[in-house]
Amino acid sequence: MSVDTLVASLIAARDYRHAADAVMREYGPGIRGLLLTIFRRNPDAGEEAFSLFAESLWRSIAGFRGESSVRTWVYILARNAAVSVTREGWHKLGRRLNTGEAERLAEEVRTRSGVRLERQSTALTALRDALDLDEQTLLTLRLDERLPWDEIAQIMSSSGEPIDSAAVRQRFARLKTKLGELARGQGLIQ
Amino acid sequence: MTTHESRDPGSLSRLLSELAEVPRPDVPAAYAAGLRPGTSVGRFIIEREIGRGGFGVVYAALDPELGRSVALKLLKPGSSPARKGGEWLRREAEAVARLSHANIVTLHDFGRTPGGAYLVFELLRGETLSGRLGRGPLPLEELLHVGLSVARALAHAHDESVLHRDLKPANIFLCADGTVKVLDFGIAHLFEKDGPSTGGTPAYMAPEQWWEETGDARSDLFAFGVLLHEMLTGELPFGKSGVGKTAPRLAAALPRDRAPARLRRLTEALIQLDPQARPGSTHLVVQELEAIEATLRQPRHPWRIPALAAAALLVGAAGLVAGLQRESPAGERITAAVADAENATGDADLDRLSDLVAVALGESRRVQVLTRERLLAAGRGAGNATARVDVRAGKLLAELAGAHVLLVPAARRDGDGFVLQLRGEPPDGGPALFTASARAEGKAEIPAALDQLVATARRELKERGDDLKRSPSRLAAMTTSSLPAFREYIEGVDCMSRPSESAGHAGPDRCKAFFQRALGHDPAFALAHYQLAYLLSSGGATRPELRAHMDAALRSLQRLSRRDAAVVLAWKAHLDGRDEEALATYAQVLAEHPDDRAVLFLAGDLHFHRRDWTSATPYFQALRGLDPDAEWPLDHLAQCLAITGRGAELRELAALLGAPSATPGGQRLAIRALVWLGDPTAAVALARKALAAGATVGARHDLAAALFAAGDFVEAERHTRQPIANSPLGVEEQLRLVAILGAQGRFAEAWHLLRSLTHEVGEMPPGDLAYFRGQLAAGSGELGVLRDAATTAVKLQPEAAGAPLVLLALLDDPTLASGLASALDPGSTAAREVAAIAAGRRGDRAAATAALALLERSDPWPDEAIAPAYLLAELTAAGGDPSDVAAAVGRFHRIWPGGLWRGWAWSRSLLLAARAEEQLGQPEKARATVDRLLLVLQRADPGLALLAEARALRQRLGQPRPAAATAPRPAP
Repeated sequence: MSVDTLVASLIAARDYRHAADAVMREYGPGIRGLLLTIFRRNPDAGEEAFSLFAESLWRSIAGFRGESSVRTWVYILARNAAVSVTREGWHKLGRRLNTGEAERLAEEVRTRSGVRLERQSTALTALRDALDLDEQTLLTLRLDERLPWDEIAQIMSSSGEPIDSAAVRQRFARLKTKLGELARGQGLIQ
Repeated sequence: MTTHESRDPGSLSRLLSELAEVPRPDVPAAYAAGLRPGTSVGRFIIEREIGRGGFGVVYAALDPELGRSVALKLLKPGSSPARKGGEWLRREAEAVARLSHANIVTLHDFGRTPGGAYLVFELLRGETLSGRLGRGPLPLEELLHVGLSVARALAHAHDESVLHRDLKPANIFLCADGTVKVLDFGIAHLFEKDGPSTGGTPAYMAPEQWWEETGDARSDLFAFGVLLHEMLTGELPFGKSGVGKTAPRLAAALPRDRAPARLRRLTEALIQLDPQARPGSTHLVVQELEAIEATLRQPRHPWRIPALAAAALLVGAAGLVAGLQRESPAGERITAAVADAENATGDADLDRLSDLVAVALGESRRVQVLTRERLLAAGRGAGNATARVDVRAGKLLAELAGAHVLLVPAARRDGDGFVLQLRGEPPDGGPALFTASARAEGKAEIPAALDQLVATARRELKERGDDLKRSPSRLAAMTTSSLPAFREYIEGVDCMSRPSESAGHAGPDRCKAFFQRALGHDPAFALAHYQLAYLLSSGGATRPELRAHMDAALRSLQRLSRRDAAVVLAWKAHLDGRDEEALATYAQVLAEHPDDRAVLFLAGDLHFHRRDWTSATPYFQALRGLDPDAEWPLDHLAQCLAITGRGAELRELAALLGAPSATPGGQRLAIRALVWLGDPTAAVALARKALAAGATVGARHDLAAALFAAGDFVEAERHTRQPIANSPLGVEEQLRLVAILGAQGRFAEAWHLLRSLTHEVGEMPPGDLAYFRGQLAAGSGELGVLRDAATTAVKLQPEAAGAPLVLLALLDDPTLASGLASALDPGSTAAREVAAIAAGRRGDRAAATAALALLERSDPWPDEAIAPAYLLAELTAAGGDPSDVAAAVGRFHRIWPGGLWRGWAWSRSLLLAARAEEQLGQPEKARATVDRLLLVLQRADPGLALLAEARALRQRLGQPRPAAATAPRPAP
């Protein structure tokens, strides 16, 4: 049974808890990885985004009507969570480092799981640093998750202007050019 | 195709794939939804969750075939055993299932479901030995009882060729009936996801296990020896990191007065590094322990105390039942715990029935409801952690928390309607005290039906008729008739009170969403409007938005209970600047409901934010009495005690919070308290212990901060740079690092780091950037940058421009600063500091120091300004009494580190102190202080003014001379 079918049947049976659990089992690790990569210089923000994603998942699963695939839907939730944390970024994290704030910040920091991003080579890190949220998402969804263009377009349209798949392809091409130039500058490729 | 692809398409594609690839880390167990009570796993039926760990979740479950309760460990997908496959699990589990011994927890069964593999054990009640050791070493008799039980368990298993491989206090369970059980025999290593391949916990691992040898029974005996040593002394013989792979370490000696010689000899033999030197068989160890016990047998058995305590509680419960036969005298209160609702309707909106019952009982003058957090905390304290309060767990928790009655709400469908029930159960397990039922034709009628049930319960619990009439429960009218709205509201309240260390902790912003959704269900829900107005007041909301919610709450005032209406009115008074009226209203509510936690907090918090620490203190003390684990009141209480100089009480609180059994939040507070008490060394020691106990980022930050307070910036930097192995630094860690670099005079690096930070989470807003630049420029002596940053900060974010402005006044141009400060709130600490400094610079030093001294009393560690103690040190150093300078520096060093300016100011304050000591004729002391400063500045930028000043002072102070020849220098 595919995850989509399993989730649909659990939702029909109003067993939202198991439906959310099934989604989390199937897509949780990939989404957590993507969010931690997007926020690689600030793991707290990555965990915050994942936490926000999980919360949206639990809260909205009862309303999921199968209008898109489960995979598209959860990546939309993940992207929305990432966008929301980015917007709150400075507001939440980079504000005052005064007494009260430092305490509050420290208290919000969770116990970390053992799983952490591995250190990358300096040059590769510089390239990664050049990627913004949408660029990392685009790259991962297309090359790592191997999603079709129209599904990526649907995900990337979730929190702003609608984007069609042709525009996504163009963005991807531009991104490749940008990374190619940067990589050449870093001596990573000829 | 791009240019670069045409040159080397393969390499670009590979690179892109590498960039696209993301790790797939496990999702922490906290995100697993868990299993509902009633769910079947194999033949077992889940009853409640009793714990979680890295391996998965433990549930209490019912085995319907044998009619017994069991503990079911559901291993999460991705855990080590789950990855190794079913056959492997079967082999391992069958070996363990062969063991049958009174001192070994029985593995009943194992299996796999689509949700993961599971193991089924007998269900135990009591606490682990590690919990027990948290309270100190064991008395000899108890030690022998535990030791013999464990040794007998080991001997039986070794006879069956099963090794434990990870014997440690956490795997030994002291049951409530006095029995001792060894847990996870032979399979403990399954649960240690990242542990060594041979299993084991460093402190208890035999040397041969360090070399990844499988070991034999003698490895278990080594661990047993470590265990005996720990039970005797409370200390680990080879420390927390164990014997290690490298140079063999010597065991810490056993104190002679703690144990008879024969027991000491046995323990020392067990922890020999050479396996050949340890006892040759586990049976020999059992015999030796039996012989020791025979010679020491005492008539008193301390480990039976729990049973006696339980008997005493039984008597107490009988007394309660007798007491319930009459109406209670006025003012006499009983405490009630409310179990999670037994919701058989399948409608999630009824999951929060318990909260409705608790809210309705808030009107009672007789029944005081214990918070769910308090119940769970009582369970945790006794080693009975649970996530769900069903009837069974509820009775135990109610008993532990000292509740007189457990109220159990239940709901089921009945045709088109619902039947609601409320039972009163004595926690000791006797017959139900009462059962009340009511029918609701639809969901909208449920609140009214609950009102009936609660009224019955209040009568049954002998509340006075007058009180019932005066403050009836009117849920439907007073809150909302929409259950979904109520559910969202309660979840919002939960969100606001969640402990900061919990995985689900969310900032106040996220809590607002619950109340907003509640209003989506019932736009007239007054309390949801009030909560939003409350949250928005501190969140920088626009006045119209805040006012709209406040007005909506006020419109429904007549519907609210007297208490709720008073709370809304008090907040309105506060928002309108009538704090005295707000405080008087809170006082009135508290006169009627002295244990109302929310109002105690509101009143204390209002005093707190008015900086009236003395008045705030009793409210937080009362809250502490009601909810010992709640963090916010404790945090505020500790700050009040610190500011008002109640050192003895603060020290007592710190000792309590710093105890090994305290919550992580409590320990963190104790670390801060020790810094406030002027004992950074003790703070560092406690922070090290907390970090060793669990490597959380918070604990590492605390250690770095304590080291900062102690002036050890080298180690503080190391811990700040490595919040957790192999992860990049977060924004806040980097800001802390900027402060630490500033303390060491490494401004070139600090500026570089600050600049690189602007791209971390998107572009740093210019107001924030100016705020940070101003603080750093003040330290590096770049006054032009300081001037520019202060001006920009005032223009862009006047509410946050305080610190750069005060520094501008202090170090550069008080006139310019005074002009800019007109944009600040004139009553703010920053504005008053600028005015004081300007007065000082005009020559009125007495007025300046008096104003700053006053500020220090009311706001000693301001958020948006500079600590008055530091300013006093600076101003007094420019011509005041040197002993005042030294004292001000001492007070400044007691402030918990925070703020970029604190780094360089800490170092500069040492120069001020050294000069003051020189003036006071204390050259030795001055030399030591300036040497300490030079040590901190070892890696300072070469041209740093502070470094030059420190060197000049050091040269002037010269080399120490023999004591006899030293004469005090006259003060200049």
